[in-house]
Amino acid sequence: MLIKIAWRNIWRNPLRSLVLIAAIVIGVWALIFINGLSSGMVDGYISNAISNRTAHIQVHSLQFERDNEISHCYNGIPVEDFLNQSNKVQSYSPRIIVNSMMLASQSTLGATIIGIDSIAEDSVNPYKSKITEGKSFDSSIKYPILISEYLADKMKVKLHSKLIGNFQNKDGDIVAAKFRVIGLLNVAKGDGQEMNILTPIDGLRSLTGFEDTEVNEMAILMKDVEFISEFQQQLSERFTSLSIKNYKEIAPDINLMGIQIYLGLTVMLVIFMMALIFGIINTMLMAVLERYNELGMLMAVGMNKTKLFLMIVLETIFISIVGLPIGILMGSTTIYIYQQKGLQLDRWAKGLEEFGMTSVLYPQLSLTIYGIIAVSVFITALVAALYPARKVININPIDAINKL
Amino acid sequence: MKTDQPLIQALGIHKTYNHSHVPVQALDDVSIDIHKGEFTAIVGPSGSGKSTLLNIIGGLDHASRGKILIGGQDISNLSDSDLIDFRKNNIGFVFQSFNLIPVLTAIENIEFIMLLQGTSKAKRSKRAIELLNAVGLGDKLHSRPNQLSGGQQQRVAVARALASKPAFILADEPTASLDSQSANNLLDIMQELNQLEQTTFIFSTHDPRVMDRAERIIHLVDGNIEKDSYTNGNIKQPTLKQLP
Repeated sequence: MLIKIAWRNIWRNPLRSLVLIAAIVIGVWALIFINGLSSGMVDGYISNAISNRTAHIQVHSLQFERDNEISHCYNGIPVEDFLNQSNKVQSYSPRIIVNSMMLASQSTLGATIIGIDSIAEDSVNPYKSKITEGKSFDSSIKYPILISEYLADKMKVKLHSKLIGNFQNKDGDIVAAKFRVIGLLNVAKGDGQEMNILTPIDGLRSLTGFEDTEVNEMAILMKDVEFISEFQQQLSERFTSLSIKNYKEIAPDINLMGIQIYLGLTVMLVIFMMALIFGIINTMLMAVLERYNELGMLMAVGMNKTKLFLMIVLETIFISIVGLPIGILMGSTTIYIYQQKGLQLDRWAKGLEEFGMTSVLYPQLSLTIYGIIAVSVFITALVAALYPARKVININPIDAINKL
Repeated sequence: MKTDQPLIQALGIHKTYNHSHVPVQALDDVSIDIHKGEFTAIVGPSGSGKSTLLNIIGGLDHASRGKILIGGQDISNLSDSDLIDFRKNNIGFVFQSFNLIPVLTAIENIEFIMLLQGTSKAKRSKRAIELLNAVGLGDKLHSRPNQLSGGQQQRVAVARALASKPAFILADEPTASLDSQSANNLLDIMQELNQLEQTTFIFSTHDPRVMDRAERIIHLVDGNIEKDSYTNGNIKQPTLKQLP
């Protein structure tokens, strides 16, 4: 009956209760939507960074890790054998990385030439899908390259332009080679990949004097992010002379981005809960004070303080959690809708691209976050109940009964 | 309808309030015995101390000095939580402004008191229906207080006070908010319950209709008993059936 009384008490003043419930619904909806948006943003950023830059794991020689010198290469065959034996690896791509000075007819710019196996690289970094002009590599052109639209713009070159690359070979001698632009890539700016130049690994090997088995980098994509830590450990134990790093270690900005956004969301959650606490306390105090007389009567006829306290706590929790499922339903529906069609942020596309994000966001939210929001609202209600409930149990029944 | 052993004994009750740091003597050495089955009215002008005495007898307030024995048990030194339990199991209250729980129906209001006592659902329902029938509201079981007249609400309040099978009922100005007809109906019911069940009623009132029905009238003036007299009471023939 205590539950019945508490529930019915909520509806004594329906307008007041509905205002608070509506505030909770809107708050929960907003929290879910903003969380979903941010999660989508972070996940998009991370998956962009993984597919475009870092893959899940990279393997380098220890010296290359330190000074980025082309000469610090290693035999890739044992690593490839190890990767081929694992069922947790989705794909991998051997790479040669050369820091070069690129010369065009009107400009000179430092860039990184990456020698890739066309098929293997596309399975790790789907570069073919980013070709906006031209085509991928074929054997008819000697030293073909793919460059970013940004680089083309900076160097004032276009499709089929020739570029001279100056760089060190494996022995430390400077070599020069003539490359031809066969395609332009649309890649996110701001994280350095716009300064990368892709070329077939065989051609670059011949220019740099690398053996067929030698590589500077092995980029590995796992079937699931859950496998990364364990597999990194296995690789480290097997290849002690190599540096094995995961994407968070390679590009701390990825992790930082996630942490910053989740920190922001936590602050937002706390602010919302604080506002909710005051809203609930205000409503409950009004509800309690206008029933002063009745509460005094309840104490007079033998309702003990524990039951009275519990009744007020139940009322507060009821009024708070009525809006919760509605808010969750509205929030999850909004996320579902935008998950299907994507949220167009064309207006901010340029800014987002600067940060390595796309202008179409696909919000998503894990069940854990829904759980956190639900539990937070519940705990907030519980905390907010304490003050009005404490006020009630301190009522003097005589004063209360005689109060008009 | 008296027995030899007093049900309630107030022994040398003093009560002093601090009103804006000025001590106000509400009761000054009041001693009374009330026996089971008495239909007693405590009367007096405003400020005479009748409500204070009723509150102290009812365990709602503590005496500054003196003792209250209920059925031989001294309740003067009980803690607040023990007093709540004591009130729940021993005292029925009827208030001037009815004080029913507005979100509960008539039957639920009565059951609620028994729920506090831990009575089973089946027993609660049975007794609540019998009590509402006894006060003439058998057809209003599921009406909420706002669907009842003042007189009907007060009758529900009487039924509620009886629900816990208390040793006595304290009624503070029970007729003050009622019209004449409703007041007389209520007093009829209370008087009949008194006669049939030997239910002890103690009223605080200035209503002459209550005084007219009371067997005993205690006059309080300035916190002192000025007069304590037994009358015949204007007793009517009982029409109620005996309660289970």
